[in-house]
Amino acid sequence: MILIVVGSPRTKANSKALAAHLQALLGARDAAAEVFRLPARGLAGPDLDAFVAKVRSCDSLILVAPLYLNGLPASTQRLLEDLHDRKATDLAGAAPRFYGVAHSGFPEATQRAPEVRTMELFARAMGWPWQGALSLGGTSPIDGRPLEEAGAFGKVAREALAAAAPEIASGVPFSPATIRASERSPFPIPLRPMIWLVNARTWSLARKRKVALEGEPYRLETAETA
Amino acid sequence: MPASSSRIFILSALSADRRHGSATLQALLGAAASKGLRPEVVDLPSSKVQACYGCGACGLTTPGTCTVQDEMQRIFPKIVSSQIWVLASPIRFGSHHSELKKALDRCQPLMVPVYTVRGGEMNFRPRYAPRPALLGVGLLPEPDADQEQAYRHLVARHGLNLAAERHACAVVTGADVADVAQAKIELALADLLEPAPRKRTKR
Repeated sequence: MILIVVGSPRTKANSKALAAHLQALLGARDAAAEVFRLPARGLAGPDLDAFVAKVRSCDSLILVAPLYLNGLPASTQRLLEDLHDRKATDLAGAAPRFYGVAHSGFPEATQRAPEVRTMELFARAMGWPWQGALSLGGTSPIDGRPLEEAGAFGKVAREALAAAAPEIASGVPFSPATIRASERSPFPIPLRPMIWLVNARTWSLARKRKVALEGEPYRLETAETA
Repeated sequence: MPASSSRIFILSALSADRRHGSATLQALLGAAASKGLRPEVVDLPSSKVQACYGCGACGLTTPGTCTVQDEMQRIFPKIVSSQIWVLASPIRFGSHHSELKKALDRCQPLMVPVYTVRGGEMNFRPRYAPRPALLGVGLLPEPDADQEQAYRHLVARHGLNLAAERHACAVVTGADVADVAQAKIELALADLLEPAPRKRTKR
């Protein structure tokens, strides 16, 4: 059984869209996959026990997570810590193949490198086979929609997951070609003009909403008088 | 460059390591005192800091303000007004302990939701100036070259993404005796306190 863990605290999570798409691709290859959504508050008590039991019984575990300030979201980081704490007890002898899918709005794979490295070091600490990670950039415009509805902004993700699915189904590591395919920027124009366009939209939205984008609410003098 | 009378604000998850965390914090405080710095410490495991839920309100709804009302509302001004901001944590899989990560994830309000190119990459514009120098102090139970390398890279990435004026890193292990640990941190602090060559800084 393949367990796909959605490691994002957002309600309208791109991680969830990526996981659902991957689950469908695996299903089309007769590879049964379950998607587990990590709650925003994390797991504790009987909920954590039940999740650990799922991990124990799966053959492959795929962690799909966004980039939060150079790493995994805190609740996902906490989940990995909790699993490691159970390595010698409830997870003794378990060794699922561990895959990662890291993604961010920033297009550059270098930005997701620490997050991917954390996934790898976790796998090694657990003694689980590390199968590699996809590193998808420019995923913000997906906006939580099914990948089929994300048009050009979902193209790289669709193609990378399509390449990854047979590798996961076969239980082999991601090939270098699959990983390279995931790292391509989905943006059709160079970085600086793209940034100019995105910023112009942001400023326009700020004007419509009559909000000041550059205020300093936490400057000490401002905060003290707030 | 922070002066020796600078405010040094320490966000610490070191108490999550019950064996070596306390000694490491003492080494950090000792290093700060040796440089004449005035430290303030927030122990995150005992603070009520909630995780970021990715609501995005700090971008375009309440720009620069996190809507979650908890201890972070008192922490944000301390970060902004500090000259040196210290992230002190056990290293877990090459990254921060989740207790520190909770606080860090909440720091998106420190950036303006407008992009720029920094270090050749797409990044957010920083909201405040001047910005503190950043010091990462990581604790490993025993020497581990892979985890140390990953952690140092992580702190360097923080320095770029948060547009820190400068950044430095110290990795302490449970095998270090107290004065070795303190000396490691003093070396890293010295990097932050040394005069830097003048260069034009882009916001």
